[in-house]
Amino acid sequence: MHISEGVLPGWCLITGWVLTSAGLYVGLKSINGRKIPRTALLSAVFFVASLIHVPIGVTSVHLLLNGLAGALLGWAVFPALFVALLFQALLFQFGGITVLGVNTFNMAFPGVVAYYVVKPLLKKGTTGSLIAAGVLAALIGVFLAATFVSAELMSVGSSFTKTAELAFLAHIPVAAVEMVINSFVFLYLKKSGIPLEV
Amino acid sequence: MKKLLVFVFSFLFVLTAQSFAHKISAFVDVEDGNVSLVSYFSDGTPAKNAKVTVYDSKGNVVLTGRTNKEGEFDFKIKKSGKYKAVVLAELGHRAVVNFTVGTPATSSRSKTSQSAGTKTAVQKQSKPSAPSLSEEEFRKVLREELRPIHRELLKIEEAQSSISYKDVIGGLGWILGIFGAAMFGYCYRRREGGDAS
Repeated sequence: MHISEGVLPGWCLITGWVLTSAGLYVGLKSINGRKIPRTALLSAVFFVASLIHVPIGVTSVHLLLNGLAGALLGWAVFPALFVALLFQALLFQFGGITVLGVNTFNMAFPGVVAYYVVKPLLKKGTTGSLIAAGVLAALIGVFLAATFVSAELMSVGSSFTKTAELAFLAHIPVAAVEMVINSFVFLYLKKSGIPLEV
Repeated sequence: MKKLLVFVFSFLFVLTAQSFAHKISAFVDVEDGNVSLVSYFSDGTPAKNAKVTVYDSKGNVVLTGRTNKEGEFDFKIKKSGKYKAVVLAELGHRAVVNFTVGTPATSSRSKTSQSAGTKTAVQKQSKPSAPSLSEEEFRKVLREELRPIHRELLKIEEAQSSISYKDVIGGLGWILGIFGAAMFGYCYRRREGGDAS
């Protein structure tokens, strides 16, 4: 779901950068010493996760794990994903530098939403609620990102419903895999006594 | 945190062993005005039904089309010159490839007919005993001979555009470095007595 360089018009790119800058500001403010290693780790996870792909129909999709990163990081998901996307753009030509703002927002904002939705469930901490949290984080992260991408591609004339339909259908397996991963990670963290909330 | 780190990384290394994705690349093969374009996602999945637009050097649209199931799109361009093909796949994937149709030496038919007289002279000089080949035939033979090399070059080009483990590990190193620097700054400020939390 990286939008390539040269697809979106200028105003879209600028809006993306403005929103991402705001997110980065809030995110960097929220990072304290204890949170730095966690942010680094999830940034690395997101960086690698995009290389795990599933070919589906006419497109090819990959794991996002932005819901997981969001749930564990809160607003700090913005700097984490920004760094990861920057290196994906530089090293793999996924996306690009000018669209980095838009791509970061697409991925990180659903993460923030997931954070607020999942927070009470993580606090509760029973097995059932942790699994529910994992499922919800995956759904919100993946499908909200797909919605954003579809909305942005509307600006270049592709119809929203058609792109959204494709994006949603293509990402169903991704969401399914992520649900399992997220629940597994939450349960594991709980078992290891690592605090889930930040 | 250490446990989490070991867990996540062992998990990811198992998964990354499978394959890599996620951008599209386009490759163009030009043969006598017949242009075949092929487009892949970086894991090798063909970019099916992607929109292809071909521009000439002035930026005018020459032709448009869509790739087939194998991610291929074949078209003919008669006028020699520099062209640019833009492949636009679903979900905002885009690839650009530049190509040249007909270098001055191979393309212009009019030129060959003009130089027909001199051509035979040259042939006689170099290979007096060989059965004289018409220039058309000669080109055909040459193309056949060069085809494996051509394929090899395309393969190398494709291999170069895919992602290597080196890049992945390098990227992870960068992330580690950046956050390491942040951690260093944080700890340094704290030791200096500032309230850095």
